[in-house]
Amino acid sequence: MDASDLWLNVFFYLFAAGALGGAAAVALSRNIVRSAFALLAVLVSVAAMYAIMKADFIAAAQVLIYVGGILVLIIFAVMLTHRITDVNVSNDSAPGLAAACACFCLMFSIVLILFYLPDWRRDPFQSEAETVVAGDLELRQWQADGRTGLALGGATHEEKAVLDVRVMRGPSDGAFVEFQVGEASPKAVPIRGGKATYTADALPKATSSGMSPTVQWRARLVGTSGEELSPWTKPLGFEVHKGVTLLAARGLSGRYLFAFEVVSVLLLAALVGAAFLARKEVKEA
Amino acid sequence: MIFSQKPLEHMLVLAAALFCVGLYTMLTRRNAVSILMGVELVLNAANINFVAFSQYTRIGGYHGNIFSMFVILLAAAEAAVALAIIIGVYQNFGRVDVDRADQMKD
Repeated sequence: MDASDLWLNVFFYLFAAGALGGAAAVALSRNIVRSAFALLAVLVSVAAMYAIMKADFIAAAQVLIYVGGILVLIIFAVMLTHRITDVNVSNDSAPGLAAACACFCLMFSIVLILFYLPDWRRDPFQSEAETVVAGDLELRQWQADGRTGLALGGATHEEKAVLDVRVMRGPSDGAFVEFQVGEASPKAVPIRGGKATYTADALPKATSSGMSPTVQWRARLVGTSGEELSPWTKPLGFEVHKGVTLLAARGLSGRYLFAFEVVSVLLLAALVGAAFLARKEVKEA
Repeated sequence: MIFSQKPLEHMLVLAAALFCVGLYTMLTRRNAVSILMGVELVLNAANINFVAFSQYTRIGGYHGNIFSMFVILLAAAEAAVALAIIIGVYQNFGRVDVDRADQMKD
């Protein structure tokens, strides 16, 4: 475990404790103002969770909208609907033994399903492999369990072959732009008679320079003088845990544009409706 | 088993815990503002699930991020309307206890 992993773990457990402690205070505090400020801790911790998951845009939106907007509204409502003097008795809760049992059973069954019924995790792309044969060379591209890689094999008389790996990333769904991987590719690999295996870590640098979590790559073998020894393999994808803000922005201005506009109309309607509901009643004389 | 080995499961367990605490808040509180806080907890738990599946599975793509953004926007609209209703109830009944407000008209 290297240093960045260590810090990731430390921050996860720190903010998880913050979120759960804050949630417990929201649920149990006798003072509604304390509850509201505990909700602040929960929302900030959840924003940190998004940052830990590298969903940077959602983390920023969480801070701006939840902490900056919704929480202020809630505190505003607390202040408007209670005289500050009776704030201590204003947050009573019903005796909640049955509710506690129900919530505990729900939590128990969720954890049970998570860890003892692993079917929910099944991924249609989980395990794929394709073998390309060129003469007595064999190029096998595999993908399993979130990792991907290349295996070279076959008995050959070639001293060396060049492995030409291209990584593609999709600007939108379906269309892929090809770009050549850095200096490291095409790279010559010794394959005389033996087997060589490359995993995604050993593949060229584009594995970490891609923007999207759906980077795909394919490979072929070319001879040392550039002649093609094997056709391209089928593209396989792998995960890159990078920010997805660019992709999300493209999705919002393309595929989800209509939903986005509908949401803006809904926000307008909510604004008008809230103003209508909260207005002072005007009695007709 | 620590976080960086199984990040998806850790996030899902955290979200489940937040969901259950929020549900408990909704079930036991009498004050409408507190119930609204419980709803916010539940929405945040659902959002964590969306983002976790989006970031830690290959088929998730970026779509979970966009969904969670819509959830945040809808939560904003919902909070505005709910607080308007709560203020209306307060003007009519003088309290915001949900088990006292049992009349549609006065």
